[in-house]
Parts: sequence; structure tokens; C-alpha cells
Amino acid sequence: MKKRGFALLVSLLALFYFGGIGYATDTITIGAAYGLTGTMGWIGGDCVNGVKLAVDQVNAKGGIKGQKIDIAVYDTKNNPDTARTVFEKLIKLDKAVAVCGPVITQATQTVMPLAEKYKVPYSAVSGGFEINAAILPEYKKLGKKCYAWALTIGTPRQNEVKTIWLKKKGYKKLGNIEPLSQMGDLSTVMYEQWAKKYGLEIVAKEKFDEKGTDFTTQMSKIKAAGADCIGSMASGGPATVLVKNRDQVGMKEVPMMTSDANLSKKFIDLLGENTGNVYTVAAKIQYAGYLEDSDPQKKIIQDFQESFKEKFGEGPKSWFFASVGYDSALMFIKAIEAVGTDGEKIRDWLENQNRFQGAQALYSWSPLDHRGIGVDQASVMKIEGGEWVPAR
Amino acid sequence: MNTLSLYIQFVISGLTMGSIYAMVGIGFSFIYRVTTVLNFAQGEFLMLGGMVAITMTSVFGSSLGLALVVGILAVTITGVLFHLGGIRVLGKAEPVRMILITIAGSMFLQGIAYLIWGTDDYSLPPFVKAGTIDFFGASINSQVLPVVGAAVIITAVLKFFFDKTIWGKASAACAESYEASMLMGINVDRMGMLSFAMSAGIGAIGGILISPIALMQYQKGVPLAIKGIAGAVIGGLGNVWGALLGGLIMGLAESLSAGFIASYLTDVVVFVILMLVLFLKPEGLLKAKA
Repeated sequence: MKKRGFALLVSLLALFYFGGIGYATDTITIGAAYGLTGTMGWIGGDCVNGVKLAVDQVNAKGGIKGQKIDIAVYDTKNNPDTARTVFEKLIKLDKAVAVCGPVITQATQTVMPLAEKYKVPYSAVSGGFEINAAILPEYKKLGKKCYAWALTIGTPRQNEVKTIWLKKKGYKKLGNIEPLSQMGDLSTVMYEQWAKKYGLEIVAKEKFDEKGTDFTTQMSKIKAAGADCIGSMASGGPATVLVKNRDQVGMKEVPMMTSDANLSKKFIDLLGENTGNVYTVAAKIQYAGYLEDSDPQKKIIQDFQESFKEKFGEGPKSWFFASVGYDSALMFIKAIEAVGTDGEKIRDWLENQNRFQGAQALYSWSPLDHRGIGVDQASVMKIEGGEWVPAR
Repeated sequence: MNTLSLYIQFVISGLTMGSIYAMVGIGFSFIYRVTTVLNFAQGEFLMLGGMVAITMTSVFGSSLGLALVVGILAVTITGVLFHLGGIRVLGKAEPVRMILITIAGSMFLQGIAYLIWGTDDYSLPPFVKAGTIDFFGASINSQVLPVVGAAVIITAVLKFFFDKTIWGKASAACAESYEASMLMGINVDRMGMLSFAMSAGIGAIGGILISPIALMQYQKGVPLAIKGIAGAVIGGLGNVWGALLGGLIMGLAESLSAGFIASYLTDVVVFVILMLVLFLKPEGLLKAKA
């Protein structure tokens, strides 16, 4: 009697266990781990809506080979520790195949080892860390694989776009002024690299404290060094003060290349009268209205924007972040369609995609580039009539 | 730009920053002189002043003059409430406790500002429309002139207040001895409130005047307060001329080190100077006079 009871228990457990697995294979879970609250919460909000749109579109077509996609949304609070906990939950409890997010650099870097250990590819927002030829070969040397993607143009590539443009316009001497931060240091290193490659001379290298109030000392040093163009990853208020200081020391005509974080109407308002010769870089979705009709990307962006408005009744706060979320989900969906739910296979497949059609731009990923937005997918932007427009 | 005008530019930039730090340091020194409280919320008075004035012009479309008045009044009232609700009720005249309360007050005011204005930077239209003034090849932002002017005028007025008026003398007596002043019939609580009200008002003036130059944001107060307080300590705590001098030294040290040494070393240089002063002349450059 006792034995039979035990056998019954075992078979019941087995039923639950395998039944559970059977249930799990009905849907495929993709994680969405973005900072949804706090100062930059709106960014995560736009991203999540992008993810939802991509997943809804594939589910409406019957899912992937009959399996529906499920999204598990978590708030990382843009805090590295919370992001780590969220990733553990997504991997262990939700059995997420891949994760869209997180947003900020520190969170992105904190979850990196976790993703590698459990072979879960993820697609971040942050532009402030390297997943390119400077880092990825190291992985190969160590016999490891990098599971991090990021669908923003990133500091290295945007500085390349700026340097090429400056060279094309005939500028020769670059003055570099960067905030005292990881991002600023990376930007300086990248300017050095691209200046060497494309033939610009860096005549001044300055730093400034973003909490400071006046940077005319640094600006006049740049002027004294004879710079005819300025490069900086400054953004927001500090960037505004920098531009004002540039104008004050009499360098109004010297173009200043700033961070892509400045791509907002708010920044233009902050600048007030000082909008002349201020530039940044954007990927195609930011200047969709200016694309040639022959550009295949134009139709993709229009379709994306229409279906987004249809689903949510209104546009996002920023098409840029909505498209980052959308493309993050889209790349995993396409990968799962192609190679199934194995994390390592998804990752390997993604690494070999050339001109992958996303809403933001065409991505070309490779073992040397996990961002994939090429120089041809971005443009230098200037301010004209209170708007950011492409500077040809 | 020749070498001389470059050097002049460094000095002008230093004086610009210095007079901003001085505005914080003066208010800080004033409260210390009267109550021996180190008010770490002084930077928030600047921030609130700037934010209120910006809201007046951008949301209510008021003139700059009205914005200035409303900003000063609003922050002065905040200073009084801060003294009534925080220092007087919770502090009970224990210096350490009062300092902790001011730190809490700083966070509280920042939190309020965050709830109202979010994390964005805001700008105020310029007070002086002269643009940039050329000075031996260096350029002076005309926006700076009101800041420097206000710092000097306020210092002089405070000096007069302390030396020539009965209220000023009474307030100085409070710092000298709390109990003795009470026995002499001085209303020490009222003196404390007066010092908070005036310091808050001074902070507001500083915050409003720097908003066109440096923009304003809810976290802008703390870094200004750190530099301003360091300046007040260098100059001699409790001495308003010392706060002005110390603030200018801080600004000059920052600018000259960025100009002649390296711009990533400015904070190191500034705080080495602070430590040197504390080692060699712990009471500050100008000794506090009661």
C-alpha cells in the first residue's frame, strides 16, 4: 500500500513536472527589463511600448511556428543592482530566451556576466560602452562569447560620423573638451583614434566638471590652441553652458559637435539664441522626413510609426527610444524564427546579420560590432528653425 | 588671442565662478555667525530662488524684476519656515543635531524641487543685455556683472548691519554666547529666524542672478554649496568679507589650475588649498570678529 502511494506520488510529480515543461513550450518568453520609474523612466516606457508592438505583430500572425511570444516586463529602476536581480528573475523564473534592455551603462555592464553564464542574449540602450573591435576580440582570446547588444549608435561610431563630416567640410584642428566621466574618457580616446584615421589634428584636450558653472577657461585654451572645430560628448545643461562659453570667447563660427543625447526640442529651447554651429549625430529614424523616397528605410520607418500610433493611439515621447525597443524585440523574434530558442544559437545568428531591417536603421552586426549602426545609417544634425535637421 | 589676454581670461573666469561661490559662502557664514549652525541647505536656497524666478517668467510671463522679487520673497519665507519647523522645533540648540537637520532639510528641499520641476535644466533670460564685453582681448560675459556687483554690495550691507545696527550687534552676541544673550534680554530665537530669513534671501538673489549664466536644475545647489562653504572656511567662518574673499580664491584656484595645470585636476588643486589653509591658519584668512 505504501509502495503504491509512493508510486502515485512520483507519477503525479512527474506529471506536474513534465506537464509544466509542456506548458512552457506553448509560449516563448522574451524579457523586457527597462528603467520605468524615476528620472529617465519615460525612456524605458517608450522602449517597452516598442517591444509590445513587435511582439503583438508576430503574435497576430500566429506567433513563431505556432508558439506565441510572451513578454515579461520588469522595472530595473535604472539601478545596476535592481537590473541584476531582474535579470536573475527573468532567466531563472520566467525562463526568458532573450532580454530587451536595460537602459543605462552601469546596468548594462552589471548584467553582462549573468548573460554570459546562462547564455541569454540581451539588447541594451546605452551608448556609453564598447562592444566593438576594441573589446570583442578579447572575448575570442579568452574563448568566451559576448551576449550584449546595444541598438544605439554609441560613442565610438558617433564620433566617427562627426570626424568624417568635419574632414569633409575642410576642418583641420579639433579641440576636444569632455566631461569628467567614463563617457567623456571614451569619447576622447575615440576622437584620437578617428582623427588619426581620417586626418584631423587634435590641438587641445580639456576636461570639465558637469556640475560647474563656467568653462570659459577651457574654451579660451581651445581657442588659443587654434582649434577650428570642437568635439564633446556633453549633453543637456552642461552642454548649453559650454556652447554659451564658446560664443562668449568669440568662437561662434567654430562648429561644436555634441552628444546625441541632445536630440530634443528641450535642448534647443535651452540654447536660446546660441543655436548656431551646434551639431550632433542621429540614426535614420530621427530624420525620416528628410530621407529620399528611394531610400528603402523610409517605408519601414513610416510603417513602424503608423502601426505604433494605431496600437497606442498616439506617438511615443521619442521615436528613437520606441524604435530601439521595437528593434530589440524584432531581432530576437527573427533569430528565434531562424534558429529556435537556444541562446547561443540566437547570439551566433545575430552576429552574422548584415543590413538587418530595423525601424531605427539597417543594422550590420559582426563579430567585431554588436551595435551595427554603420556610418551610412547616420547623419550629422544641425539646428534650423528650432528643429534638428540633417546637415549635409 | 595673445598670451596676456588668455591669462586675463583665466582670471576673469575665476572671478566669475568665485563670485557665485561667494554668494553661497556669505549666506552660510551669516547663519553661522548668528546661530553657530552650519547650514548645509544654503545651496538649496540658491536653487529654489532660481527655480521660482524661472517659473515666474516662463509660466506666468512676469517681468524679470517681479520674478526677482517673488523669488527672494518665496525663499525668504522658506528660510523662516525651515527655521521654525526644523531648527527650532527639532534642533533644541544642539549644534550637531542642528547640522543634521540642515542636511535633512537640503535633501527635503531637493525632493520638493524634483517633484515640482523634474530633472530638466532651465534657463532665465539675461538681466543685462550688453552681450560680451571685450577687456584687453579677453571677453567678459555681461551677465556676470550683476553677480559680482551683488556679492560686493551684499557683503558691504551685512558689514554695516553687524557693526552699526543694534540688531546686528545683538545677532553677533547670540553667536558669542547663547545663554548670556538670553540673559541680556535678546530674543535669540527671533535672531536665529532673522539670520535664516536673510541668508535665504541672499541665497535666492545669488541663485536668480546665476540662472542666466549657469542654468538651474534641482541638484544644482549641492556642488555650489560645497565650493561656497569651502570658500567661507578659507576666508574665516563667520566673517562676511572672508566669505567673499574665500569664494573668489576658490573660483580663481579652479580657473587658474584649469588654465595652467590641467582641467582634470581642478578639484584636487582647490581642495589642496583648502587643506593648506586649515593646516596653516585653521581660523581662516580673515579671523572671525564677534
